[in-house]
Amino acid sequence: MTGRARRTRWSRMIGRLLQAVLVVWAASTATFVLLRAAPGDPYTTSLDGFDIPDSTRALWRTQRGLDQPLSTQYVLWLRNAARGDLGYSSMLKRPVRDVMRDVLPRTLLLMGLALGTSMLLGMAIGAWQGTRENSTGDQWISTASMIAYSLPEFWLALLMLQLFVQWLGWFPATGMVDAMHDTMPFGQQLLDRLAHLALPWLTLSLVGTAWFARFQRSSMIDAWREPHVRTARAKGLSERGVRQHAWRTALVPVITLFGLLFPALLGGAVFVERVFGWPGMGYTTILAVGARDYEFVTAAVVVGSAMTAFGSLLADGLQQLADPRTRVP
Amino acid sequence: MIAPRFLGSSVLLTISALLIGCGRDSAPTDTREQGGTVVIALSAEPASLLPPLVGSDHEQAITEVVYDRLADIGAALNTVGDAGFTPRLASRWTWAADSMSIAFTMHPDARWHDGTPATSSDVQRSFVLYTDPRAESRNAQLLTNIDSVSTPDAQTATFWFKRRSPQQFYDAVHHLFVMPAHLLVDVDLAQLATVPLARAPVGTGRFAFVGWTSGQRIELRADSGNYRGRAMLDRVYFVPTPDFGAATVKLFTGEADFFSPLNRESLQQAARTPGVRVWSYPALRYLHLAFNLRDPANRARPHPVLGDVAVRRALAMATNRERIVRTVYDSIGSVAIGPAPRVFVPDDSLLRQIPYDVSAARTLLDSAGWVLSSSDSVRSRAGVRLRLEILVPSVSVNRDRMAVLLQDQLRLIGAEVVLQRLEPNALIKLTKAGKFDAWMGGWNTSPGLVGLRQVWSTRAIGGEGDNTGGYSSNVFDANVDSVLTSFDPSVARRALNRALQTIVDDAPAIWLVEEVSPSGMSSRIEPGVLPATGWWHALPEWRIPPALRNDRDRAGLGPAN
Repeated sequence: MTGRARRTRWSRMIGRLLQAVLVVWAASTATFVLLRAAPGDPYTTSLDGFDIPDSTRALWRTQRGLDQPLSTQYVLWLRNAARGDLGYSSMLKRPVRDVMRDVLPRTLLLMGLALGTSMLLGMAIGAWQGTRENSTGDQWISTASMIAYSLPEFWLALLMLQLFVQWLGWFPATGMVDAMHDTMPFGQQLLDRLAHLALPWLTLSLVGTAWFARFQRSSMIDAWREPHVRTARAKGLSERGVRQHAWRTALVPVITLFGLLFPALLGGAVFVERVFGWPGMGYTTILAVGARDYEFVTAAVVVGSAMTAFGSLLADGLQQLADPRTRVP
Repeated sequence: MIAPRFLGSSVLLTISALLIGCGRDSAPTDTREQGGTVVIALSAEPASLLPPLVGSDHEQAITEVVYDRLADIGAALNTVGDAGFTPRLASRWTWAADSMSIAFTMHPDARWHDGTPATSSDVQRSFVLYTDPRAESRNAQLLTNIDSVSTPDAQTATFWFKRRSPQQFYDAVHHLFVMPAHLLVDVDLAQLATVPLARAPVGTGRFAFVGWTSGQRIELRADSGNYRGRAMLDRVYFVPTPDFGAATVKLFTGEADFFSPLNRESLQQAARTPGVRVWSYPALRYLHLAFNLRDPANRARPHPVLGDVAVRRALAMATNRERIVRTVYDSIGSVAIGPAPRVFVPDDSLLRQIPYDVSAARTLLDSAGWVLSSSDSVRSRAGVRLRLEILVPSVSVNRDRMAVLLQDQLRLIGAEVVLQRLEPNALIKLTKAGKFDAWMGGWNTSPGLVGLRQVWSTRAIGGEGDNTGGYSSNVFDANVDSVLTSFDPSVARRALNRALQTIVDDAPAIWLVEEVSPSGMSSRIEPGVLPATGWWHALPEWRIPPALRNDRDRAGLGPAN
């Protein structure tokens, strides 16, 4: 690679990173403003409670700086955020950083596993279907993936709960571990963790697998008809070799989907986390929006948009790896 | 030799069997009277376990068994004087001759769970934490009649009051849990929520805090040396389960032993599930359709439709409350009698309710000049249509269902009802500003009945009060004052009836339902009586008979403690 090409690649990468930072900043700023524009604040009275006078609530707002002009609040938030201080969660009565430290790894674990499973399974299934277009197997799998694809995650989660917990009794209903987890020996603790992970993981993976399979199938069908695949076959390459050849071409759109699905899974995790009592970031964010927990919601948007930007960057990188034509000359 | 294709599955099966085998208890037979483990599904995870910061049932359920009050209210929920109150952290109390102070003597055996003796300085420090406005305490407003707490000696805490009041004893003991002063030294009151005690409480209650795994569980254990005697159970786990459906599944599959409250649909399933039974207690809460009596565009003027008492009474008359309650709540609600649950109204049968009578409602509207024209199905008077918009909180399924039924019933007398579903914050903003016709309201009440003044009295209009509908009646106000200031329970009772009769007749709201909280419980638990003040108050008395205990009851416990 020439020095010029290397410089171009670096400047492009830095450009993308700056773009990502800009996205995170814009999303968090919009959240900061919109949240405060919505009715209510963290100290609004509860729906049916009357025990706290307005003057006391006003004092609490002053303590948290909510009586300051919006611009002052924003500058303060930006300064603190730049230092890594994400503020104080009024809903959970803890520093946001501490809450994030608890909830983010749980969501990442669930999402990471679901995304990995979806990608591997979906790609394998889609590639298989793509090479056997319109076969009976292809039609059955297409129907099944269409059903899984069109089901809302929360509904699928409820279905799983009903089927595997209430009727079959195979898995525990909710949570990350059993209430008695600490009293179990190591081996049983491990099984307990896996049993609690199974249903949320399966729910998210089912939907994700359907996504990947559908995209992989159609891109594989397209790739299968490409002239270079025909040429490879005409040159006497084995069927397995031809498939690998076509599959590499068919990867590019699926990798783009990976970038898109990364934040989409975070959205899906919100409902799945709620139904399965998985104490992750998604569900906590929904509760925080209702409670007008400004600082937690803004922090969650920062994390969410950073993950989206990261997913997009990762997809770009993987695309270039899979398809040399997309690389910077 | 094992065939290779079965090798993998055989290894997996062996490992699984070993792992499962590791967890099997060599359970000795438990014959102790005290013992057992209960898992309680909570509807949300607590934000704090520091009593002044606690506001919801799922937080109170934990703090109120870890911490103690000086005395507990009796089953009759009397708030006048000290009749019926049971000694707790205070072993006894002495009233001053002028009733302006009460000296509480600390129980000599009371110890904090860390072993430190409980003293009067703990009471004094707790009072400061509850009442300093910087501390964000939810109960500060309820302690305003207490001037100060002094500590003549380590065993005596004297409460000094600003004025004599029938409820001064109740105010002092009911709204204040005693916290350990030695763990709250040099605390920044504006940062009270961040003290370690907020997530690792140390109390004097019959259950001691063991641990809190964020998002997963909170564990309490019986305090074996407690001054009030050891709790009957060994352990209680509180497991946050925010999704209602998942919480009920947890209950029905035996993962949880208790969940409250159930709803109408899950009650039927509970009845069909072996090993689960239902216990109910009054929820101390009423729901109503609150009218705005003032014009939303100009608060100085009466509301063009609802400012007329005849219209309000006609709307109340056209409402079949019995049908609404049966349809929406079935057996877990009863028709409300007014702005106070029955449990606080000893003579509720004496109250005359506005009867359900659609014909009479139509006649009343006709006579008030609200008539139907041949071209319109909605009544009008002097060009003003009989139309009201009802604000409904979008988070409440039951209120929504009741609003739909109301809309249908009021249509029959020529009233046009439009439902506006709003997110709670948006709804509160509109009601606080008086920008509404009617809203599906609800109030949690407490034994002191201070809510009558805070929500419905003239002094609660605007400013600090919650009388958003602008109802004003001198008769009601005077009687409520008598209820809250009379030292004679019979006088207070008569005044309460007069106040309620006045407000029922004036119809500033349609009183819809008093809720009942049904709880689902494992049938191996014997809970005794679930008190109206909250199921958790009886938790130390819950027992699991030795014959009904299972592996969960014994897992991880050493020899009997």
